[in-house]
Amino acid sequence: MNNSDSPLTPNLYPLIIECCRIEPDFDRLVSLASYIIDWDQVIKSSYAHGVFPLVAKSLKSIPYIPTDVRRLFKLTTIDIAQKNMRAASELIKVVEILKSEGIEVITFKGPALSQMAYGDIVSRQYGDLDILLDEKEIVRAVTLLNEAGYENILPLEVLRNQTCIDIIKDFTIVQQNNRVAFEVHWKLFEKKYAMKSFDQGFRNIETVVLNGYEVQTIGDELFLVYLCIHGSKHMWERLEWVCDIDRLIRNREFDWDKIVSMALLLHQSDGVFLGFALGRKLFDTPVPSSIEPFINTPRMEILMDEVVDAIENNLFDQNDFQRNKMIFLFQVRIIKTWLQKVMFFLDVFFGISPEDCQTFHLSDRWKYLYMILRPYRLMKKALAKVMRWL
Amino acid sequence: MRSLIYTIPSSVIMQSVDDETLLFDSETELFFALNETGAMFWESITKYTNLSDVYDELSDIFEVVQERLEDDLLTFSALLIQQGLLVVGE
Repeated sequence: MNNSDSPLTPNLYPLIIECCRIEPDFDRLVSLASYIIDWDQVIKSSYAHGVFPLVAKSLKSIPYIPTDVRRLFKLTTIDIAQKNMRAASELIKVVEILKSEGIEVITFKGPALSQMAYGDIVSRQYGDLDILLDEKEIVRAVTLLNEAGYENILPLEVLRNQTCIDIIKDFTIVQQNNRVAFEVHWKLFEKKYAMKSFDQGFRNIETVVLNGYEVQTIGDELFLVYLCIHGSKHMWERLEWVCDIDRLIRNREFDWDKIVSMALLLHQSDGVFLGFALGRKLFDTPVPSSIEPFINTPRMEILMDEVVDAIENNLFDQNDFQRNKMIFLFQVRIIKTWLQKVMFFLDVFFGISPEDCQTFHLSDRWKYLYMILRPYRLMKKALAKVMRWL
Repeated sequence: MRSLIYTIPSSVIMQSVDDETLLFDSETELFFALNETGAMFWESITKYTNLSDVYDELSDIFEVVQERLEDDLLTFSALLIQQGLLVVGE
């Protein structure tokens, strides 16, 4: 089943996946490329999956590619590199602003992940930049960044509301001039994925060098676990995320006993192991034997097939409702026990949502009122939609 | 080769992309692309703080007449200084 407007060009995803391997097979690339009818689909899909730089690099010396397509590959690669260089520079500026005021900043994903996994800041695509701060410092940090020209997407009052702080995990700010966006985090995991104590208990710091400047990032094991949970939460809709896991495992040393311990403490441990299983299936990621019992299971095979089927049939390209429904049901399937599934369901549909605490600023003492006020909020939202339509 | 002391502003970063070398100055938000020769000049410039040291290294790499290399290096450096990618003095 393919949900694109036009049929998928033959060998589209086998080609893209081969391009993302650590050492793509040249003969196989030539063979796959010879069947490509619509190179626009290759370009569009590579970009959507965040792996354009890798695909462009792998296809550089392959025949059968039209000249105008080659030109587009080169121009887009340079465009991505420029965006990334601008983003990395902005990240360094933000780190310097906060550090100069005594605020410790941990950066993760984005340029730090690119440097750790790929050895440079231009081989993967990234948009928003992520920084992690101490919860006690968020208001001060965001205020400082506002003074330095960063605009808030939501009102600052949200960060002064403890219920909001407990519900949401990040706050977006955007640089006024160049529109580089930051997600300011104070925890890595939402409550439904891990307790706060897990987040902070396992947090350790490492250093990565971005263009000669040292920044702090999350320690290797926690970073890998985080990336797997993040990918599984979104049903691995971007191949880039599987690629990141593959490259990190190949380029860094990990304490795998620690990773297994962390995974088993999480509400969605299979989400962690799924990342390694997908890496091995798509890119032959070398996974230690201690992980094999967790990924060589019929259940893991079913979850992997679901992800690969969704990627190969462009199911992430559906309308928002269908796509979100597919991802939600996948999230429920990843959870092992029925009790945890029920808790997850209750949290999604009946827990206080970020929209609730952003609309009504209630103190912690009155937070039970959110459930009563929610129907009013939803009616108001529906009415606004109807009025716009009219 | 006359001695010229310089520094590279901390706002300037460099990345190799495809066959090109890109420079970005976060102060001006401007990008610059260097060709292969420019990239080699730049790489040498990043290693030293004195243009005569750069000249000495490049003269081992490029088999050209001394005056030609000196002219090219001075012209290149002048362009970098004009664009704020190099600052004269310590």
